[in-house]
Amino acid sequence: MISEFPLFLFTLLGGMSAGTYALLAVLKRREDGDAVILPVVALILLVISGFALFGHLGRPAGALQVMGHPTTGIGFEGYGSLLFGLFVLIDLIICAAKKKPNHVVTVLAGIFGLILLVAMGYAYYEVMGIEQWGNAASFAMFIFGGLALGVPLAAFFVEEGYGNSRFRLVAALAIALGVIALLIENGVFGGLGLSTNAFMIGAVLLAIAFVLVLVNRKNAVWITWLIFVLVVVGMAIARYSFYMI
Amino acid sequence: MPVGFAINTVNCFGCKTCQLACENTHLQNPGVFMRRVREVNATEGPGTVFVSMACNHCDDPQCLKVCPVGAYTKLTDGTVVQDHEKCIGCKSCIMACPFHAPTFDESEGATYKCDGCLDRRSAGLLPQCVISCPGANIQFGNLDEVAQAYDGAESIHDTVATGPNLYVKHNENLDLDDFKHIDGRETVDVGSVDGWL
Ligand code: SF4
Ligand code: SF4
Repeated sequence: MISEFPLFLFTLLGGMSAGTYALLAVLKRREDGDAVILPVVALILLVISGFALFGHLGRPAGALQVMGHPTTGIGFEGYGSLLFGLFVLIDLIICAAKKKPNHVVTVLAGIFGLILLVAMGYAYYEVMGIEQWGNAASFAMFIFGGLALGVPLAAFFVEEGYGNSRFRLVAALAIALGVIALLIENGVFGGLGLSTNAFMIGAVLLAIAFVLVLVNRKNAVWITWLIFVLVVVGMAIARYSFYMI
Repeated sequence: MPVGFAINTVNCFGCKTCQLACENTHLQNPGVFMRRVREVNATEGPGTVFVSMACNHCDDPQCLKVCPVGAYTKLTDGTVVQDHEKCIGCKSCIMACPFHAPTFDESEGATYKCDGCLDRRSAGLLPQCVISCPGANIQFGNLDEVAQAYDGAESIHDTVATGPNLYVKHNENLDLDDFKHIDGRETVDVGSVDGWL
């Protein structure tokens, strides 16, 4: 197993949670009683990813000290996670009380979700000692990658899912950005003489998901789940390789 | 002039006395080394070059920049010092340092880094690695002095982005550019990196 497995979990699960809200900020969410499921799932993902981040620390008890240094990668991620989590929590309370989401809260959660994705990119961009991480491609990996990861979860919380033409467009765009991010990493890792197979496998799986998004006009359940699996597995394979240092 | 190290890789035969002397002086936990002798299989020429390296007390220390608890400070003489008690063991400094100079102690869950034997220096003594090398292949002090320690030694200051304060005497088996690849690995095949998948 990779030594940085906690970071893999943090960026994969936290990225999915943040990416989902970032996408929903420009879409119309379902307004039925099930709306509350989104913040519940997002918080579960965030809590697991948060615990994973603690697992990365040799002395987790000192984690709070990080908040005194917001300009460092980990500090930025810490603040990003806390603020994003706060708005997801507010969303949860509103959805539970009113049985439908509040758009302003969704937009704010989306903005902080995007900020969390930027923080993740920054945390790797500043790692100068690992050549394949310390470059601008890390921003693409985590911002575009996070948005792509948000697609399959967001699909369950938009009216008509992939049957909604606006969502199809946003979803296709986000997954295309994910493919671009993996191709950029393919170039970076390849340029350093490192294996690029995982990025190519990830890019192919995401490209298949991209096509399925476009053809899933009737929002078929099995295609929706197939897209879910393709995006998560594709991104997980690529990220796993990213962390193989 | 800031402080820094000079090493003579031409005469170093990889006995690792410096590495062990440093460990025995500062750390009790086996396998935790602040100075490490790396084997560099150079691009040209025969044989292996041994490079004994610890922290190079860079002018622009990345360790200091990325540490999320502010454990690092740069003293007026240029020494980059870590406050070990503050460390929460996130390993950011190890990953950010081009040479992966800080070292992680699994048993403590925290990181250690060379301070050029600050305690010994305040007592008027030389760093332990310097006095222990049987070939006198390591020097530490003000850069203008250590630069003269070995004939023809060159600085890697402008080779690596952090501005490391290290002078290296080398022959054709080791290129200054090779220091861009000398990271945490014990053996570095300069110019070729293993595949991962
Ligand atoms: S060599 Fe590494 S640990 Fe030492 S000052 Fe430079 S960046 Fe920091
Ligand atoms: S491992 Fe310790 S000293 Fe290094 S960056 Fe993390 S908290 Fe700072």
